[in-house]
Amino acid sequence: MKQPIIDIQNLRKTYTYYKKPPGLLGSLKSLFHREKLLTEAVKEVNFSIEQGEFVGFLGPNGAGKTTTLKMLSGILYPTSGKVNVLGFTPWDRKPEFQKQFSLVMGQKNQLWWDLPAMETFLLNQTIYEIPEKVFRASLKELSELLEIQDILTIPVRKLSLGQRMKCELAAALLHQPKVLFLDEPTIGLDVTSQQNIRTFLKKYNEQKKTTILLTSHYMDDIMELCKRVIIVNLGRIVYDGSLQELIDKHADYKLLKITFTQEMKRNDLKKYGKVSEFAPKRAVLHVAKAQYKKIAAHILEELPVDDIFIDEVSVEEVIRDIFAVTKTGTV
Amino acid sequence: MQLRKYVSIFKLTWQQYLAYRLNLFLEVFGGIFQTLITVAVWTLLFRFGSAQVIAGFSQPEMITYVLGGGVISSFLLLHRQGDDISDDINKGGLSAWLAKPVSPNLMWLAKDMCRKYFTFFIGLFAYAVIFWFFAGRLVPPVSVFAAFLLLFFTLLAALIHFGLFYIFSIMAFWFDQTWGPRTLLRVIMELASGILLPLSLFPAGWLQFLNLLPFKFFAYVPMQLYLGNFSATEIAIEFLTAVAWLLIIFSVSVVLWRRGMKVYSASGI
Repeated sequence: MKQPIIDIQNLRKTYTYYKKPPGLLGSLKSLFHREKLLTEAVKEVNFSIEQGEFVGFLGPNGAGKTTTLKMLSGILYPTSGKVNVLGFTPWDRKPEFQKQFSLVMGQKNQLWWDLPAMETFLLNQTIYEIPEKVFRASLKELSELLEIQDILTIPVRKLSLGQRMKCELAAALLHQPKVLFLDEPTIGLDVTSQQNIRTFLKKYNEQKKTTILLTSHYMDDIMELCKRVIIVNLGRIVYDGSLQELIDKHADYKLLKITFTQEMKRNDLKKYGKVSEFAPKRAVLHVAKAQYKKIAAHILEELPVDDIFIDEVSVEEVIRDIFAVTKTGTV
Repeated sequence: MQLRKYVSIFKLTWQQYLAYRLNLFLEVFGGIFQTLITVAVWTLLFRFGSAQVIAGFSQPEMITYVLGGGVISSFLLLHRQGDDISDDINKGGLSAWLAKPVSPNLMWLAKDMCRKYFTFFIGLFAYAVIFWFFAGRLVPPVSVFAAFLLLFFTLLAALIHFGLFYIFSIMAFWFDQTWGPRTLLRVIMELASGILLPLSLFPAGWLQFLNLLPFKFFAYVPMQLYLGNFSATEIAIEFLTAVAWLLIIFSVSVVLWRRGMKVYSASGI
C-alpha cells in the first residue's frame, strides 16, 4: 500500500493555563496563588492524507483545527500521539522537513510589513536555499498566476488585504513545497479576492499535485476546492469523507420557498412540513425528499400561491446541523 | 550557507530600520543628552571642589570616561530592548519562524545586532558634533592596542547585553508581559554599568559586588581599557569574566528555550 503523506494517530493536545480572578484584587491574589486549569484542545484525532489530495478541515471556532495544524507544522508539541508528515515527525523541526512544506496563516503574515514583498521573497530564497534559476522560474510563474507582478516593489503596508494575501501565498510557495497548510487564507477578503485565491489554489493543486490541507469558515472555499472534508468538533473528528456524501446523508429534506398572494397563518402551513422561516406572505418549509413533489402540488392546489421555489439545503446549514448535533454526540 | 540566512535577516532588518530612522535618531540623541548632563555634573564637581584628581581620574579623563561610556550606552542600552522577542512569543509571530528552516534565536540575535549597529551609525553625526565641541578637553586612547580593546570589549558587551535581555524576554513563554523585569534590569544597568560614575568610586565592598555582575562591561570596563587603567593581568581577568558570563547566559538560554518551547501555545494565530 502507498504510504500516506500525512498520517496522524491518536493526537492529543492539552493546554495549561491559569485562572485569573477579575479586577485589581484578583491580580494581586494571583501573584501568590494561581489556580491551574487544563483545556483539552485536541482529544483524539486520527486521519491520513494521500499525496495530491485537497482536504477541507472544518469545525467551529475552538474545535481544535488550528491546534492540529500547528502540531502538523511542528510549532507545537503534542501531549501525546504520533504524527508523520513526509516521513518526518514535525516537532523535531528538521530542516529537510521544513524545506518541503509551508504554512499560510490568514491572520498572521510572514511578509515584512515596511518592506516590499520582493524583499521577503529574497529572504525566503536564502532561508530555503533555493537555487537562483529555480527561484526566478518559481517567482515568474507565481507572480503571473497570482497577477502580482506590479505590486512586488510596493511596501507591504500599502497593499490591500487581497493583494497582501496573494503575496503571502507566493512567499509560501517559492520553495515549491510538497505539503501546504492553509489556515483561513480567505478570511476578511472581499468576494472577488476570495474567488481569485480559490481559482489560484485550484489551478496550483492540479498542476503541482501539492497536498493541501485547508481550514476555512467560508463554505464556498470548501465546496469549490475540496472533494474530501474532515470535520472536527470539541477536539474529535466527527466526519471524514466526501462533501457530497455528507450533504446527501444529512440533507434528507428539500426547501420549499413560497410566496403567497395574501397573508397566511403559520398554523395553516404546519401540516405540509416543518416551517423554518415565516412572514405573513412568505414561508420556507422543510419537506422530506421522497415527498416534496407531491407536497408542492398540494400546496399549489390548496393555498393562494404567488410563487414556489424548490431548493437544496445549503452546505452551511448541513454543517451547522452537524456542529449542533456533535455538541452532544457523534454524527 | 547557514550564515547567509542571518546576514539576509540582518540586511532586511537594516532596511526596516531605515523606515524608523527618525525615531531611532531621537532615541540616540536623548541618550547623548543625558550623558551631557552627567558631564556637566562632573565639570561642576571639579570646578567647585578643589580636587585635581577624583578617585584617580583627572578632569579630562573623567569627561572622556563619561562621554565614551555615554556613546557606548547610547547604542547598546536601547529602551525597547527585548520587545521584539517578547512580542513574537506572546502574539504568535514566532510560529512563522518555527515553521521555517531557520533558528529563531539566531534570527533574534541578527535583528538585535543590526539594531545596535544601526543606532551606532545613526548616532555618528551626534557623536561627531559632541567630540568636536569637547576637542582639546578629551584624552586620546593610551595606545592603538587600547583602542582595539575598547572595540573588542564593546562587541563582547553587545553579546552579553543581548543575552541578558533575551533571558528576560523569553520569560514571555510563561508570563503575559515581561516589560516589568526588563525595566528593572535597565535601571540596575544604569548604575551598575558605571555610566553615571566609574565603579572605582564605590566603596570597596560595593566595588567587589559590582565586579561580579556582568553590567560593568557596558561602560566601565571598555572605558577603563581605553584610558589604560587596567594591567595586563586585569585585562586577562576581565576577558575571562566576560567569556564566563557569556557561557552562563548561553547555558541558561538553552535550558529556558527548551522548556519554553514545550509550553509555547502559539496563541494569536
